[in-house]
Amino acid sequence: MRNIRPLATIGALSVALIAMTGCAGGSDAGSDSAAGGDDKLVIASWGGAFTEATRTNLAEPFEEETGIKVEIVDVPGTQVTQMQQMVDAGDVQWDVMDSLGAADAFYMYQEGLIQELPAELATSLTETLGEEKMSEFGFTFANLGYVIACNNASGKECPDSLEGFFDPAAFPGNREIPGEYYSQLAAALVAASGQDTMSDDIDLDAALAQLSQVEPATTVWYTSGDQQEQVLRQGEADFGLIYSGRAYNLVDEGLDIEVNWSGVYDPGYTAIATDAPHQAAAEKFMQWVAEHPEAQAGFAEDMSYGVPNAEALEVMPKEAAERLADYPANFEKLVQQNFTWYLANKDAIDNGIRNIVQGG
Amino acid sequence: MATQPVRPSERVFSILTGIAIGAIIVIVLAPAVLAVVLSFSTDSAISFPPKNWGFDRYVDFFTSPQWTDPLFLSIRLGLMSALLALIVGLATLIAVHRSRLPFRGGIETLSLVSLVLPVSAYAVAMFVVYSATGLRGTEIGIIMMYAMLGLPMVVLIGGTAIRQLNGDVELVANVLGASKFRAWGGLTFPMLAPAFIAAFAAAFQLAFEEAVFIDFLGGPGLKTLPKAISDSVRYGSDPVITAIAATLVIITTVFVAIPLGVARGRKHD
Amino acid sequence: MSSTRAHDAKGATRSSGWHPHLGPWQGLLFAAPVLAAIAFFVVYPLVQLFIQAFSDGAGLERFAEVFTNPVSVRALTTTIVDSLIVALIAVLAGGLIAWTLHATTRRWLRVLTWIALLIPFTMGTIVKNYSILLLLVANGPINSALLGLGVIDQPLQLLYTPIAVVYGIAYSLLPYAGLTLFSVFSHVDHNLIASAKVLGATRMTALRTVIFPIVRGGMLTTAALIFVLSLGFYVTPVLLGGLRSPFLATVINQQIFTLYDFPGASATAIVVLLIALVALGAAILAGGRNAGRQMLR
Repeated sequence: MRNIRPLATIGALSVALIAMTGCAGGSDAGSDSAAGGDDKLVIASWGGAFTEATRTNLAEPFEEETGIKVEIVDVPGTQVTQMQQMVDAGDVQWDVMDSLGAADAFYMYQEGLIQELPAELATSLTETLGEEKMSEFGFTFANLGYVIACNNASGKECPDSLEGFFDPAAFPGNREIPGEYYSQLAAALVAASGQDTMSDDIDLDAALAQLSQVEPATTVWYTSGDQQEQVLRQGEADFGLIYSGRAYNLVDEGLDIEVNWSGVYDPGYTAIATDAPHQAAAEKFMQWVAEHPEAQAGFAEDMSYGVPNAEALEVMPKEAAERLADYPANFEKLVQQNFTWYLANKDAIDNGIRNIVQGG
Repeated sequence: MATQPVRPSERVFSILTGIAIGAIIVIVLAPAVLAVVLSFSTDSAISFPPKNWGFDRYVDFFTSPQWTDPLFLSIRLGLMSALLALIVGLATLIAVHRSRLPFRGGIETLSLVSLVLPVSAYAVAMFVVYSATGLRGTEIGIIMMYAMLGLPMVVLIGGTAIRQLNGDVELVANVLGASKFRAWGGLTFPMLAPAFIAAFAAAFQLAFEEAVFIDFLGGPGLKTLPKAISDSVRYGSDPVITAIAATLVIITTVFVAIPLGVARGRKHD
Repeated sequence: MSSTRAHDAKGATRSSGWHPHLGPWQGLLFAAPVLAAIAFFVVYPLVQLFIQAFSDGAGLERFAEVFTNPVSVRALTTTIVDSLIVALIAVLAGGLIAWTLHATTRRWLRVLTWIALLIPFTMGTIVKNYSILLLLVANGPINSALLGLGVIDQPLQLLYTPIAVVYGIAYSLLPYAGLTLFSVFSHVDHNLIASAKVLGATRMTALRTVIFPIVRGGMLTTAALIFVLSLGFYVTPVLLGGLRSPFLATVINQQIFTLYDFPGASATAIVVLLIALVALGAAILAGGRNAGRQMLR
């Protein structure tokens, strides 16, 4: 019977440890969706610095003013799949979708995963922010530009336009290009091929030809935000078509990065989830954000992403404003994405790009 | 021991294998060493070579809830799933090695399946199942999945140990009047204790560092340590992950080197 | 042990006989948990996969798609070829490590080798892959060293290449190969080599003609095991291979999280499973059941 002791000790230790970590560990899995009401709000956001900026600039002041408790869940990159699951299961746990990628947002709206804004809310938001910042399902938020960022330490000449970026003969160097952001890349290609992105009659083949042309000179096809920074920092590419916010991170780090705004405008959309458990709170939040330019300005300064309320640009320091995609001087250099065209031709566009990037 | 002079070809052979082993060890230790080196840097982003040095990252790791919460969650899930794996594994071992259940060999093989199923395919399949049954994003769901992944460890390690036992001891106990369970509880399982401890440790390790299923089957409240690290690498490289890497490496080295270093050498030296 | 039991017509033992082991029904009771687990965690998911792959009245189109879509085909060949290479490397390196552990007399070497064997196991998936990434980047240690030594004058592209993926997977699977082979080798009697030497063989010849035939089966089975494990790898190809060296796992990932094509992902997953099955089947046929026994003991 002596040999039972080691087993028993392990057993006791395990149970003790489980109990301890059970008490120490914070949140339990899942949620406690309170019925309807507006005592609580759940925001689905992007994690890391993004969530921090949302919490500090938007969630906390909102909570102070209204008394509604805000919970932020981090679901970077999986908003669509998770919403799909939740709607199918009839158990939606999120209220506000924070800054969805534009193409994703239009797709989700098409699939019924996010709501059409209630009429009253829509009118009031449009009044505050202006029509260009609105869509049927929400307002633009955390808008960024896909900009040309060059690491001058590489010694390569920095392309001054999208056409140049996709032309390795004119501008030799290793590139990093979005590997899985088809809508934005498609717009860039259309522009590079000399076409108007908002026209009704886009020649997809001409656009894709640009991609084939640049493919041999591309060392990284990135699939995530932080990768964009890592690649330039680690020398895997000489220049890239990356998020403006990420480019400025590198600048702030001390790297010799040149930022060229001849790129693509990529809005984010903040929207309300279908069957949101706390509908009233969600609407209140959208209203609050729209009406508080200082809060938006704080967010914009932290993340270098654009915000919808025009007054925000005036409230923040000029150097911060100059980094935003919505800053007039930058905005006019960026080409717009044609989401109608994209959704209508999604398969052809997605597969066309994929075949070049990942095919034989 | 050698009664003949060593031939030159033997020498060459020895040297080549020596170099090969050396190269393998270096290649295996390189990433670990790099992680340890980088963990002592205090640069704002991970870059080589480090420009500043300090313990900042370790401090961040052990003091910020952003990392300690996932750490505790991973420990808890690991312990619970390893325990579940051990319990189910024990029952399975009894059925396979101490009963006359037909097809028990096949059952033993089947219980090892989750080890061999290609992870990417398996995760997708479980995604469908868990979504359909509402287990997705639940703690109990993750614990069960991890237990399923740890089960082969218990059955393999425990099975190997049981096979090497001499069943006569139990027979003697039975002859002397002990019931089957008394014999097993008092004799067999204590003898198997080291194997069970190893199996528990292996199952725990598997659950603790599991990074794929948590992506597919997890949800907002289930940020395990690997998930936190994965998110960090993809969306916001927090240099703290080098400190985490280094900590794991150091723990391994300590726990392996000490027992082995202290143990007596082998018989055929 | 029970050959003297009297059997009735159906072959069951008469209940009055005593047996040191439990009866079939009691055994079933103990097997119930694992049977339930297999039903829910193995059978049910596989069935669901097939349902998804054939959903919306599709026939075999989705499976055909896996073999015709250029992206998929590239991933398929990359996965198979790279996994074969990994299996080869893992068995060779693992074999070398296992043999060292089995035969060496120097304690420091044994400790060092054990550490090397177990570190990939304990480092944690993301962490070890990320560390390898940092090792391989353009301005990382390897490139810096090579540049400094003047061997190259431009940094090598190591990341996002098959080299990176093979390194990463072999790194993760080395402990499995090493431990399994260690188990296989532990049945090899040391006296065999000594006897061979006494009879005049060099160490090399002894290994080749005496040891190798004994362990060959086990090594083959280990190689098959490593191959199968490598097929399904997910984190490593995504992190170290990127979109240029895609594995089927990369494609599955995209199908779910980028293209929102769940049925397609299921079809691809089934293809991966089938390849694994074929590989295991081939290994069993080639290695024989003894090889499996050698590993399990």
